[in-house]
Amino acid sequence: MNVLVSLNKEKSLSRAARLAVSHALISDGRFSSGNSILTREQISSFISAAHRLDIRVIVRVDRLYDEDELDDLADYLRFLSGCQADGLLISDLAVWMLKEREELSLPCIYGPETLLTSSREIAQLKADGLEGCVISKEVPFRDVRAMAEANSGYCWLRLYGPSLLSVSKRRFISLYLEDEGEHADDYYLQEESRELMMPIIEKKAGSWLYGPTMHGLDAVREISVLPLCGVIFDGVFDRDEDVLKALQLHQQVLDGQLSEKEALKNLPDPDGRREYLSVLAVRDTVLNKEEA
Amino acid sequence: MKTELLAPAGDLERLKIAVMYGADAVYFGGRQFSLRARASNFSLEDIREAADFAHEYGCRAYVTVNMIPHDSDFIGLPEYLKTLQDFGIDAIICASRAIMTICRQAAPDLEVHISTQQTTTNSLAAAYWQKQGADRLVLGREVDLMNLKTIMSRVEMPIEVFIHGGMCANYSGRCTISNLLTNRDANRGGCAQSCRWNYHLYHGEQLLDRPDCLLSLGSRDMAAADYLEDLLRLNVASLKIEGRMKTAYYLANVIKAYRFMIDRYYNNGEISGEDLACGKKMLARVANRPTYNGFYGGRESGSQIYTLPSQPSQNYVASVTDYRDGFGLLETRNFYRKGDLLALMNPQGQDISFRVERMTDEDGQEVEIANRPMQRLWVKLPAPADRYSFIKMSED
Repeated sequence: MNVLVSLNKEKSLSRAARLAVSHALISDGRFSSGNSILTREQISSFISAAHRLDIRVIVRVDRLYDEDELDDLADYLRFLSGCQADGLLISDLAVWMLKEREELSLPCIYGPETLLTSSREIAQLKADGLEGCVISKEVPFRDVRAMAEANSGYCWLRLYGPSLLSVSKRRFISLYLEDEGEHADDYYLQEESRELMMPIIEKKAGSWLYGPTMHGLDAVREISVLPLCGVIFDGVFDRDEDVLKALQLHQQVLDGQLSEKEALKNLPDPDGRREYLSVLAVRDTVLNKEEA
Repeated sequence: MKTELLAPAGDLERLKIAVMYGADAVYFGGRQFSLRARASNFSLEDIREAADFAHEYGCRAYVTVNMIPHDSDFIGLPEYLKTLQDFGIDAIICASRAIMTICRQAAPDLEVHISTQQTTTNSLAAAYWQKQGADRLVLGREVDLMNLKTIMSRVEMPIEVFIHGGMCANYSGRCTISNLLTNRDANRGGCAQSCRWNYHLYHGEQLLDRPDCLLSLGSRDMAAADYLEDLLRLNVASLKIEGRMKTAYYLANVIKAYRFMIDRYYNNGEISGEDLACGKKMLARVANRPTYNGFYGGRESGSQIYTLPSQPSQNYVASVTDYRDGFGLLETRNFYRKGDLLALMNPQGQDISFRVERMTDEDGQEVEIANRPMQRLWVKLPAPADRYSFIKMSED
């Protein structure tokens, strides 16, 4: 099974290779969500270095794009194709249409976070020609299993990382504070009657709000035998060493070197506010207040 | 082809109001497969009646099948779609590629309109849906006018845009705040509108709350009459009013206002300043949240609410349930009394002001004051009325 891990630094690649990472997930400052910023030069260099270690590189091109961004987006995709990127993680079907139009060899993994909640939806997108899909994170594990089995070898599962709750074109922090500053790092929202701290990233293109950090420590054995294309460890805004540590803990549990409980205690808490949620704990949702 | 005015309906009564007040098309949800779980929603028998009623008045009828389905949600869907087709429904509004395919197989005569839940914001994403054979695309509300012009020039399929109503804080279909905080599924009709709640803002350990208010993600409502003429000139296929949860009175006013302005445009080639002011005044009567032009004028200008409270309208006085010999049987919604200056609003024509001269209950007893909700009183009216008429406070 493939293992896709978000990385920001080239120097993290050798450790990733030792942990059998098959794919690295990288981001730029404009066309990606998240808050890591690799320049074009750094992206090109990262891809070359990864390929030398036999690690493939997926580039996060996962925003929703306005019409007046499409020309620049096309230019960016041509650049990525030119430096031999191995694929794209996308959220806007425009990216897939664009790479098809430009006949670029950039397989797309479609991961809109919320829209892929059934086996049939994924089967249909596969039939349409999309090269891969990420199962939405709000799906109970029972359905995850069904979706993977119905689309053998096609689906990716987010196994670790902050869960994206919402995407907005609005810059909520700037609007609230009435300033035009940068608000990408270390900002949190806390609903007034709850304790949960929700990381929020604001960029020029809008705001991304995150919830608890998902993990699969208590499900690794079950997941390891699912017919998935791969699993994703996406730290979004976390340091490479934290994401790689989380990967290592999952591997140690799978290999029987560590108990789930011990691994859970050792999961990183870079901001001291991390709340973890197992992929097994995602519940069926309801429609009415009374049932909730 | 003229641009369609598309109105929502939460139940059969509101659907009839929408048709009578000038909608060219109506959309509503059945009890399954639709968002807005708290709207009354339509039984199959209601759907049949709704289609018949709409078609009788030359109005098209669309059914929302716009949930983002889980595996268990497909049970009975083909049969349901076939039934909609048999009832003569014109289109479904859906947000799922899989549902689109099932519809094509089970009910090929139904048009498929792709919902705003798919968050289509550019011509290439639109081209995807065109390639799959969708009949119409509802764009994301985040598209501004300049980008809309370009999209319209590059896309062949009919485009629908929003003109009025509530706005999601986030891209529609891309939000699960409600799922996390309340376990109610935003994309299957259970949205708790958690975006409108209050949040503390931290940077690291530092609390950044403003002294006057906490942070809310909730947006003002859209009221984009200022851009109506631009949108009509672009020849968008449809202008959509949001609000399946809204009251009949709200719908009547909003539809009548846009009907008035759209008709002025097609009759005169423009919407004059005077007509626009008149239309906006009609809309303002029923605004219960602060409004703005949405994203048409560019990003986020004035979109947030913060300290501005909702303002429930007291303008709606009564609905008319019967009319005989110059007297209307009014069902009370807000306080009024003998001597008050009220106005009769009918689907067609201008409002007619009148003073309440005599009020009697259903036993013929004279009454001085209407102060109980749903109280039914006979009142002399200045013109014929019917069950689609409303009584409101006069603005004269």
